[in-house]
Amino acid sequence: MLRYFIRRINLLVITFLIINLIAFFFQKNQTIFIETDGNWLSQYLVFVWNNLNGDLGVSSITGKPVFDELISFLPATLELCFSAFLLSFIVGIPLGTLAGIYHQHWIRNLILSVTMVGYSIPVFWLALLLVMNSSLLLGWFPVSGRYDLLLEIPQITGFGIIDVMWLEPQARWPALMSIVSHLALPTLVLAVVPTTEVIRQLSNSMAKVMSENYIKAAATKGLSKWQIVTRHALHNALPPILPSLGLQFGNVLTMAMVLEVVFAWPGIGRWLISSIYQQDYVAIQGGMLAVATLVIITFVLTDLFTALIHPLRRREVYAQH
Amino acid sequence: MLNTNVFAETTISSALQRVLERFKDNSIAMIGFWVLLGFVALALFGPLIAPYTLDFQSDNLLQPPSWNQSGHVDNFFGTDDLGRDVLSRLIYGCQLTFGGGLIVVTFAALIGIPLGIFSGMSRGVKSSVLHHVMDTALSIPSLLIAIMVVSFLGTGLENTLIAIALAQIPQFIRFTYIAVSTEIQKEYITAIRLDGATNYRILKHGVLPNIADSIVFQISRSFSSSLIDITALGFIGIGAQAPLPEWGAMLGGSKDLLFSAPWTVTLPGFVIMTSILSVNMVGEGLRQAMLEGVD
Repeated sequence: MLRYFIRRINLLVITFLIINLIAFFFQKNQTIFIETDGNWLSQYLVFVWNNLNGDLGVSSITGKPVFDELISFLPATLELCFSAFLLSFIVGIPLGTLAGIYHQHWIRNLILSVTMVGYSIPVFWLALLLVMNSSLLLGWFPVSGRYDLLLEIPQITGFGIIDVMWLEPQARWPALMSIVSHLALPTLVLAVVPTTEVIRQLSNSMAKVMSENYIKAAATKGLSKWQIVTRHALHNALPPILPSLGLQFGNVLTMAMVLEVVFAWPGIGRWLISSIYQQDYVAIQGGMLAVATLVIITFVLTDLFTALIHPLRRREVYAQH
Repeated sequence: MLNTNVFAETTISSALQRVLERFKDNSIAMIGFWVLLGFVALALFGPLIAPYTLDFQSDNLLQPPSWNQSGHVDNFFGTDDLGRDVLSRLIYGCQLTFGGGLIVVTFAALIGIPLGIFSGMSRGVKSSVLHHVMDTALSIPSLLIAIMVVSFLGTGLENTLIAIALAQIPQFIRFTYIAVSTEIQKEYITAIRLDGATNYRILKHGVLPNIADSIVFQISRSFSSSLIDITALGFIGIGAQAPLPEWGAMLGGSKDLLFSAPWTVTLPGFVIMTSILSVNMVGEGLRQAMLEGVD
């Protein structure tokens, strides 16, 4: 495990350095980092050191440190991503399991066909359709924003659902309801991306597990199909797909950034895109570095977590090299 | 069954041929294939088919589609807020979005596949370094890379296409690398290597015919993801810019008309979905055809 750990951390460090190198070469604005004499290598090291310390420079449009702006916008996006992942597990795991158990059966074909339509739909279009039908015509959900503008929710952690706790007791419940109703529609749309992935991966993994000998042994023992699936199959089918779900985090984060434009969600995507319009290169560079680093850290952490709970993963990596 | 024909040689079809035969039996995949061909035809001959020219503006602003009560058959899909024919713009847009996607994938494949083959055939440090660099590139989604590149190159359709091509190349390298390196470990490759075959000969007669099907599958996957990327960048306004009839930019430009003129939003989105779905249907059909061969 230690060897595996070192190998993955090594990958993380190298990746971080490569991303920094790309950002270093791309940067057009030379005023970000302290003027150092000497060759580009020492400049690069200063650049990386500054980034590690959270010194991403000062935005040329707003005049605030980029790091502070990131900290204020990132939680809104992460809240959206986390709730989308939660929903995708709730919907995806039962459907994926069903599709995996009923091999060559109409249930599997139905679920997989719907999944294929699901990942072919451009999510920003789906968002517009849902806004049109459920918000404008039926009035079920608010059209945009994070919570009612009349509410004053303190920014402590930045996650709306947690920040509600700092309100006075009688104000908590309506504030929470407002946050949840604003969160519902973006979550529903964003969850399409990871749900289709969970279903596809889990149905393949489940089909593989269900053909193993220990499942036949359990069936011979007289366990019902429900018992086999909950006691034996899911335990072995879920861990192998975790790393690819960790990879999905980057995808979900990017799609969340696109959806923020539709829902006027005050997150990092809207901030980055407006920075691109304004050609605020310091902000773009800082934001991109932060997002890319976040994506890679998530991937490495899920991978390590998988290796921790599922020893077979460690063997796969040893065998590869 | 007894084979009565003594003289005819039994032809053993190659992996690619067998996959194509199974692909033809899959009706869903064939539907996707024909729709895909339709889009290719529209991208090639769109300007000849489109009922109006690109700069045509009628006096009927926001006219509903022809199946609506107040619609007119002159503008089959209705008109937008500047009186432009939606159908013509969608047909012209086929060249930009679908054709653009085709160009991007061709370019990325031409660069990525040879590099992947090179890294797959090499061993030791060279291969390991490439492996690590590719792991890095793959953990960041292609749309994010595309947004990064566009933000530094500046907005516009050309920069979008460059950005997406740059984002797709690592996927090709990685996929080809895996296909080549699993193929090269098989025993028949060792056998021809013992016969004294050079690397080039192994590649040409041993590896390439056997990985052709998985490369075709990767091309279809990369194509669908670059279609999503082009339209997403157009939609958020940093890809193709406003007057261009790129599907994503059309969708992004008319999102304010969502309530008053829903067809200007639903129709471009539906076309985007159909094109991506057809590509995915072909890709899935290929994957199934490939898997059946293994079982």
